[in-house]
Amino acid sequence: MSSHRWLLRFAFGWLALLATIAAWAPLLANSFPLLVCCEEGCQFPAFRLFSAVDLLWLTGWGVAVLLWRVRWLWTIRVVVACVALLVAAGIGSQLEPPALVVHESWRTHLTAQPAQRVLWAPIPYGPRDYLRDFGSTALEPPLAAAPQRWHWLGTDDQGADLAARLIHASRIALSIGLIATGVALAIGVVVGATMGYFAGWVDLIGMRLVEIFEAIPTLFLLLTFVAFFERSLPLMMVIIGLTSWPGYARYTRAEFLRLRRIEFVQGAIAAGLPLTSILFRHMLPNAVAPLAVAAAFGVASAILAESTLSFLGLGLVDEPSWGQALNQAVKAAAFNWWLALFPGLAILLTVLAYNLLGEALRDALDPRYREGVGV
Amino acid sequence: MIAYLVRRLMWLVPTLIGITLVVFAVMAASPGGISAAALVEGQNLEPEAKKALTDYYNRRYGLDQPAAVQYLRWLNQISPLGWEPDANGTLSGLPTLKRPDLGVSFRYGRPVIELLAERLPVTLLLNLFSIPLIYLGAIAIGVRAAERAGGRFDQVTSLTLLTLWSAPPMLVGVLLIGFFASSDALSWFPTGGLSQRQALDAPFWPVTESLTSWLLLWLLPLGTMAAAVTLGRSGRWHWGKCHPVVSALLGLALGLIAVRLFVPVTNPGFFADRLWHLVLPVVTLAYGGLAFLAKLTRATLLEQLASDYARTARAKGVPPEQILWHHLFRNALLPLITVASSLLPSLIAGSVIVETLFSLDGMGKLAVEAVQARDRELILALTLLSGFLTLVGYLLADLAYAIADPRIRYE
Amino acid sequence: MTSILAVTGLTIAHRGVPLVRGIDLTIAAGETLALVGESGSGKSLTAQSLLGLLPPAFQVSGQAHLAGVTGNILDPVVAQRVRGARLAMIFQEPMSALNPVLTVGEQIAEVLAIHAPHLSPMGQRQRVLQALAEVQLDPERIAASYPHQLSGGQRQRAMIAMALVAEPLLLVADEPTTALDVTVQAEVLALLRALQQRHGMAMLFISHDLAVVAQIADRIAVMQQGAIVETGTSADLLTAPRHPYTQRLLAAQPDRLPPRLRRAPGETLLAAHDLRVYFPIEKGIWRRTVGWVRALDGVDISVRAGEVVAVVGESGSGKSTLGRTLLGLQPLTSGSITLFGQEMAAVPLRAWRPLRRRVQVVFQDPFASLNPKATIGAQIMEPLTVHRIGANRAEQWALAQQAIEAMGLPSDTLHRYPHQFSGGQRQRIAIAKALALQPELIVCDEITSALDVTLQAEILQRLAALVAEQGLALLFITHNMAVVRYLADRVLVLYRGQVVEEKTHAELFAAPEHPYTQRLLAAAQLEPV
Repeated sequence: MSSHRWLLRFAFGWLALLATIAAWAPLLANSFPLLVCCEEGCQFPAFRLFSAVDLLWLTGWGVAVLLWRVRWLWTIRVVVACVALLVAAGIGSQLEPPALVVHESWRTHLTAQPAQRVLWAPIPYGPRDYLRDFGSTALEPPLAAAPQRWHWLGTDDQGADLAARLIHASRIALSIGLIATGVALAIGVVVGATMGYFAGWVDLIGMRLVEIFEAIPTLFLLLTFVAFFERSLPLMMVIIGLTSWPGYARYTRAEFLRLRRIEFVQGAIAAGLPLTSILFRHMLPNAVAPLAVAAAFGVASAILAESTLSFLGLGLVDEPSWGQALNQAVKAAAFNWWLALFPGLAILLTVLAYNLLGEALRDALDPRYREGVGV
Repeated sequence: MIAYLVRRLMWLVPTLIGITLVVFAVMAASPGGISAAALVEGQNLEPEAKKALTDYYNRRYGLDQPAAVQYLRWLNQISPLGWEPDANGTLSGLPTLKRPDLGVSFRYGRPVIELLAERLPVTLLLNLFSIPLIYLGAIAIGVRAAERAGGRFDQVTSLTLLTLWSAPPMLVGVLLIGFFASSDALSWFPTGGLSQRQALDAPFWPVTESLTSWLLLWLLPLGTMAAAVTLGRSGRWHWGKCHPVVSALLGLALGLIAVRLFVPVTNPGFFADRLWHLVLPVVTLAYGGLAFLAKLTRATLLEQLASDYARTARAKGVPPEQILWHHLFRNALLPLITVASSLLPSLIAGSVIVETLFSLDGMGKLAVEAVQARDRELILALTLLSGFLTLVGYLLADLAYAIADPRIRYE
Repeated sequence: MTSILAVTGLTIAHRGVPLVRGIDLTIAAGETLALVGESGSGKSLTAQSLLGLLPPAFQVSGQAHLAGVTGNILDPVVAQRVRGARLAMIFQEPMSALNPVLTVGEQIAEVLAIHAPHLSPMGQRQRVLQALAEVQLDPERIAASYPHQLSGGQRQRAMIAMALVAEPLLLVADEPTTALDVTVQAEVLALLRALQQRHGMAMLFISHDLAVVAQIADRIAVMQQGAIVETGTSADLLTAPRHPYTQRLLAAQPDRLPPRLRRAPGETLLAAHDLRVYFPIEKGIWRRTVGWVRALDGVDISVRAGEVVAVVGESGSGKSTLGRTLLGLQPLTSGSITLFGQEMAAVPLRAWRPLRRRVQVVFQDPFASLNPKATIGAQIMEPLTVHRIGANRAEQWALAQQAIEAMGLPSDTLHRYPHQFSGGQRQRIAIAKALALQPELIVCDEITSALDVTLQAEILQRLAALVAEQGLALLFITHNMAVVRYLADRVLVLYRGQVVEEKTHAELFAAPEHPYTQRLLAAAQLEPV
């Protein structure tokens, strides 16, 4: 159906756009200008603030774009990507962004001494730029302070530009989604495959473990984790992953149990093929289909989980996050619609994109998958 | 079947222990763990006062003992069979039957069981209203979409449901409040809370001035329901035939709106007021589950439509309506029941957000507060309770499935 | 003679692609017309279109008239009136064709509720019980049972009862016995014949099996690729077919194949003694073992080089378990297996590895025999690499290519994936894969049961040639007695896990001793040798 293709294009398009925004974030929203030229020469203040993470994001993006188009073997692509990232990490470790950033510095400097050429970022405010040099800027609706200051999406309750915060928050949304799901997949697949292949008492104990983790209300466990441990990004990723592995374990186990009995695996055993080949060449590639579908939906729910935690005030403290902005929409007495609409829309579109991907994967893999194995 | 159920019941207790153990392990493994020092740290006290408070906590709650011991003491505390501690807190002698004690909350200083008794009904109320709404709505939409698969209804609802499912509850709740409950926009519903102050003193049912108003109050909704059902059955309007249950509910909703708008009422009464306060929270809680289940109903029904026994029924000359409800739906119900078991945990999680948004004092809100205060007793008790509810939900779903599927009933 | 059904110009297309082109059929009152064809011939589509059961993606055109009904029954409006009342249908897979959540009685009563609404509930129940008794089922018990509680034969009889309870003029039977055991098949066919005569009903019988059709049909129509190529009375068609396709079909029947070359057997490759495989039955809260399912209950078997040993049995006989046990895929409870002179019963799976090259297996389901995610070439070459056959990759590729071409497959097969091939081709690939290792013994687990008869004939002949030329040994598991007669040197008859008879093929077919063997042979209705 053409509408399906439309939707799929939207999903890919939005995710690509998001990834681009996330990679280029420091150059899209920054309180420091990108380029300042006066008589002495040109400077690039924004780049002075680059950290290793920024460099890695940009490299990753560049590598992804390059390797998407180029028609090399998959192994070569992976090798090139790893090398590029390692080089970027190496260079990045040499970077030393200043610990304290005074966001007003360049604005006041340039008002005092205008330069010949100035190139600002499209959104000339950083995510932590609380606009103290402009007085009270908290909770302004979009374009309220125009033409003095252009806040396309308004400001939050601390006075920071909302667009800048949302742009930088996209990094967290994307990375948490993927890494949390990756962690959950890793644990789930290993546990599930072991249970499915060996069956017997391994299966019995494993299933009890899965049931226990499934029965724990995920949000409660997340809340407990987050409240008791310090709130750092890597930890949050791992924690969200730790609460969602049971689903993947179940799928993997079901697939492995089914595949153990299926004729081509029995034939492989009867042909004397080694165990590693049976597991990795015969069983695992055929068990991937439901996992891929579940993973797409899993990323969506990981993003939702992070937003929920931020909304409840239990998310990352310093980093901007979509859920956090939503939190501020409710706090004050008046209804700050821009604080609800824009972050909410961002979350909605991203989650929708992943759900669409999941559905498309399910439709694509199911019939052919079934056809291939003759169910 | 009995054997299967008994086995499942037997696993209930170990699983509950496992759940609480995991949560306890998380608490114990954290930096600071579950010690009095962590509780006392934030407060601005002099050293002696701090020490006194620490000692008090340690003695009262046994926080200075190793984590494993703490957990075992807690297990002993909550189990109906165990050791009663004496005045100093030591245990001796043989285990006896005793009253299970969920402990005292650090944050509130009140027995946990009191807090739960207060908060649980609110959460249950929300969920009990949500579940039928989810199922009825999902079946109505899902069946319709499957019947006319590929048609306009199907395409429109497909996308709408996916979008709804993807929408975070925070966004939906905030938007609902913003548009329907705030003073800037429409003010149809209250912004939060469970009842107005006056409603607590009011009589249960609405009070009207005259007899005609009173009659109208009750007859108008019944009238709209009957009208809707007849209209639905005749199928003479734009959207074709409609199942009587669906049209009855739609008629009821219309009737209630009509009553609200047109019937003069002196005092809405406790019941109406409570309902009015519940509308937005229930919608926020239920829409996600409804979207998911509707899609699932559609998918399952489409599968059943392509099955062999449906073909046999057609070959027998069974009319399509009867095939749908008598044959297909009964088979499609089976996976829906299975899914019901995963619905309850998500509703409990959803309650957290909804209660926070709408300032309802329920279990979810309590959980957030407990976690923020690192309140060991409360957290464990809440975990136990929600774990128990979840497992009971699974069990009920299993039971319903076993009853509905004769292949399991007679095994 | 009045014709009950007259079909002219029936055409069925799927998204513009014609699948059935202009079929003409007539069926007289009380007559059985058999529609015979291989897979893809369009016979099932034809049958379903007569009742209007095809999904909307299929475009059906043409005329079909049923006696006593005005209008073209291919028209959906007319079809809705006619289905179940004047025209009834029974299907191939009785388990999935019955609604699992309703009792058999309810499902039969439904037909009456729709087509005989004047009956009171009591009257309906009477008719239901009557119908069940007529198909030789215990009426009260079966009416209250759910489909999963019945055996395959019982379910098919229940389906027949359901179809006949409204006294239709014409019964369309779409491969009703294909999924049943041979003995049950014979009973159901006899039942259909008896019912047909009693009710004076006409029958359209779809099948791919000429042997089955010979037992039941008055006239036969042969379909090939959507068209009827020949029609004639049963006697005429089976003795003197005119169309080349019909002739090919008949010639491919296993009992009409030219007898194969047999050779003297060599040394014993495989010998098993007193094999027992028991599966525990666990019941109750504690899953205590209350009994045992005796899949194999003391089986002795041996296979020598150049010999074909057939293991015959129906479902539940344990024949598949036997195949798996002899390959080490199923642990045994007790007994001994000697493979190439080595005692294998108590050794771990790893110890089988060096012997794996010499014994191979081919399974029944072509759709599950190949890894969907690997190319054919990779799948054939991997065992070659593991067992170090062929000095280098190029040589292995050549060996694989040879094996593929020997089975009559296109030369680019090695580069493709399984889903690009039909069921028959996949089975050929599976056999080629087994043969590429040049084993001494192949265990064939019902390898031709899911195949068309022409393909079956081809494969049987190739295997026979290999046995004669290279001294290949086969352990051939099947339920088809005609195949056994063609292929086997020795026959073991398996019933409920025990060998009830073991004879050479000549002895068995001339003078079977055990009553079960006699029943099998009677059901197969083979022409005397």
